[in-house]
Amino acid sequence: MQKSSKYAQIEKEGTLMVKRLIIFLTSLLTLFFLSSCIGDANIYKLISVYDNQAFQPNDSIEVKQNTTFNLLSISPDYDGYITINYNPPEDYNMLKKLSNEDSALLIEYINYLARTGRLESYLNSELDENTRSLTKNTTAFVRGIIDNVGNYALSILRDVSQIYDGLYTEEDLKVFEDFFESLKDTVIEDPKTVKDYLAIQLSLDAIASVIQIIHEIIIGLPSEIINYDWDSLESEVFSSEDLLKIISGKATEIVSILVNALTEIDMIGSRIPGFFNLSEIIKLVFQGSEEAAS
Amino acid sequence: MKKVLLVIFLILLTINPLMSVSLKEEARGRAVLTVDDPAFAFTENPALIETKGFAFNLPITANLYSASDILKSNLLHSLIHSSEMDSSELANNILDILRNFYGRTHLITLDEMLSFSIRGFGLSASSYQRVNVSGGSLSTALSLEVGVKLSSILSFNFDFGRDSSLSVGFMPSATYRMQSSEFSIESATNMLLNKNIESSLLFYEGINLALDIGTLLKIPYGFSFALVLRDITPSYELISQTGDRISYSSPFSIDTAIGWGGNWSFVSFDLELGLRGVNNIRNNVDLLKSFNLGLSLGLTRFFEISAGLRAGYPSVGLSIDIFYVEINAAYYWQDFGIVYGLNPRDVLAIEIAISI
Repeated sequence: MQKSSKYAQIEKEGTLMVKRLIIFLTSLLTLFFLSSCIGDANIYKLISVYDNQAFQPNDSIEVKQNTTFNLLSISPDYDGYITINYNPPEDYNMLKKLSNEDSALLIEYINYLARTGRLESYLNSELDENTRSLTKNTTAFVRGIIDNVGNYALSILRDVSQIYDGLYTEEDLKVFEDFFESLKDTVIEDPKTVKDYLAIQLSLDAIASVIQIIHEIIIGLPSEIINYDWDSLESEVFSSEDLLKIISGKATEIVSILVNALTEIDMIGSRIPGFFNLSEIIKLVFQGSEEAAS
Repeated sequence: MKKVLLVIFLILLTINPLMSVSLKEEARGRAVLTVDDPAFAFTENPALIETKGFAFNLPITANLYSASDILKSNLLHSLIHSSEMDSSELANNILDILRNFYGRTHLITLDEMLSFSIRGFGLSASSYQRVNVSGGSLSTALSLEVGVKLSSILSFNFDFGRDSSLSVGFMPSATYRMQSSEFSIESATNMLLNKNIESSLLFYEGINLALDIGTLLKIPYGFSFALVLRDITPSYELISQTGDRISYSSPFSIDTAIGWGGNWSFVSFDLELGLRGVNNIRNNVDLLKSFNLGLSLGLTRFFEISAGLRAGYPSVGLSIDIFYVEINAAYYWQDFGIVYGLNPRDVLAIEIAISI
C-alpha cells in the first residue's frame, strides 16, 4: 500500500515535471520566434502573407498610373494646380508633381527600404523598355522648364536686389544659378534606373515649387485658379514695389511652399547617395557666409 | 478595514490626473481577453471585472515612441555639445534628428488611470496626454492631445460548477478629447507676422460616447474563450473655437480569443491566441493585422515575463510585483504607416501601478 502510494507520488511529480517542461519549451520557442522578428520589426517575410507587389524585388520597373501603390506611379489627382502649356509630349502626364499623399508614401517607402537594407538594389532596378523610352522623351522637356524657371527666378532676385540696393551680389546670384544648373544635371538624359527616374521626379517637384512661388509672388492669386502659358508670364509687366507688396502679403504661403518642397527633397535625397539634400545646402551656405566674412 | 482605508487614502491622493492602459497588455500583444485579471476589464474585456471580491488599480504609464531612432540620433549628445558645434554642424545635427519623425506618429505619451471594482460592478476614470509629431525634416510639426475617459461596468456571472462559468460585462463610457492643431515653421511664421498665437494654434474638442460588451466562457482544464463587441458607437466630431471640424469614427469590431492557463507550484502560465476585428477582415493583410498572441510566465508571485505578437509586431515585457506596487516595463512596436508595414515605430515604456 505504501509502495503504491509512493509510485503514485512519483507519477504525480513526473507529470508535473513534464508539464513544466512543456511550458518552459513553449515559452522558450515563442521568445526565440519573437526575438527573430525584432530585427526587421515585422514578420511579413517570415509568414509570407504580404503579397503586395511593392514589397517584392523587381527585375524591371514599369511606370503605371492609377495603381494603389507603385513607387513610380504619379497621382492622377494633380490637375491644373499649375498648368504650363508647354506643348508637352504625348505622355506628359507621367511627370506631374507628386501629391502630398504620394510624397508621404514615397518617403515612407524609401525609409522602409533603407531600414531593411533593400534600398540600393531597388534604386538600381532597371526601368522597363516602355517606361525608359517615355521617360527619355520627357527629360528634354524637364530640362527646358528648369532653364526657363531658373532664368525667371534669377531675374526676380535681381529686381529684389536692386530695390534693396545690392542685397545680392553677382556672386550670390551665381550660387542660385549653379543650383539650377545642378538641378538640371540631375535630370539624366538617358534614364535607365529607378534612381534616374527619381532624380527627374524630384527635380520636377522642386521646380514646380519654384513655379508655385512665382505664381504667389507675381500673380498674387491662388495658383490653382491660374492657368497661363510661359510666353504670357514672361511678358507680364510688374513694378518692383508691386512685387515687394505681394511678397510681404504672401510670406506665410511662400514659407509653407518652400518648407514643403525642401522637406520632400531632403527626406528622399538624404537617403540616396549623390542626390542633393539640405545637409549639403546648409554646408554650402555656411561655407559661403564664412568665406564672405573672411 | 485596512484595505478600505488604504483605498480612500489613495483616492484622495489621486485627485490629480488619473490613470489608464496597463502596460502588461502591450507586452502581451494586447492578447489579454481571457486573462483572469480585473486590471484588463476597463481596457480590453468588461467581463474580466472582479465578480467575487474587490479590486483596485492605479497605473501611471509613460511611453517613448521611436525609441531606437531617438537613441541612434544622439539627441542627448547634440543637446549637451550644441554650444561647441559650429553653426553648420549644429544645423545638420538638428536636421538629422528631425528626419527621424517622418510621417505622423506619437512622440511621447502619458497615461493615468484609476479603477476599482466590487462584486461585478466597477468604475474607472482615465486620462492621457500625448505629444504628436508629424512631417519630417524641416516640416516637422508638433501637436498636443489630451483626453479624459469615464467608464462603468456592470457584469453578470453564471457559475456552472466544475471550473465552468460564463461572465457577461457591459461597459458604457464617455471620452472627452481635446487636441491642438499642428505647430510648425509655417505656424511660427504666421504667428510672427500676425503677432497672434490664437490665429496659428487651434484647439479642437469633443465628446465620444461608446459601449463595449464582453463575454468570457471558462471551461475545465484551464481553457477559456472570449468574445468582445467593441466600440458600438457612432462617429463623432471635434470642433475648434473657429468652428472647424475634425471627424472621427471608431470602426465597430468583434474581437475573439482562446486562452489556456494554469498554476503549478510557483510557476504560472497564460497563453492566448486572438483575432481582433474579425468582422473587418477582407484579405491576408487584414488577417495578419487582426491576429495576436500573448503569453505570460510567472515565477513566484513577484516576477512575470510576458511576450506577444500583435498585427505582425513583437513585444516583450517584465513585471515585478512587490506587495501592492507593480513595476512594469515593455518594449513593443506600433505601425503608423500610410500603407500598413511601412512605418513601424518602437516604443519603450514604463509603468508604476498600485494594484490590490
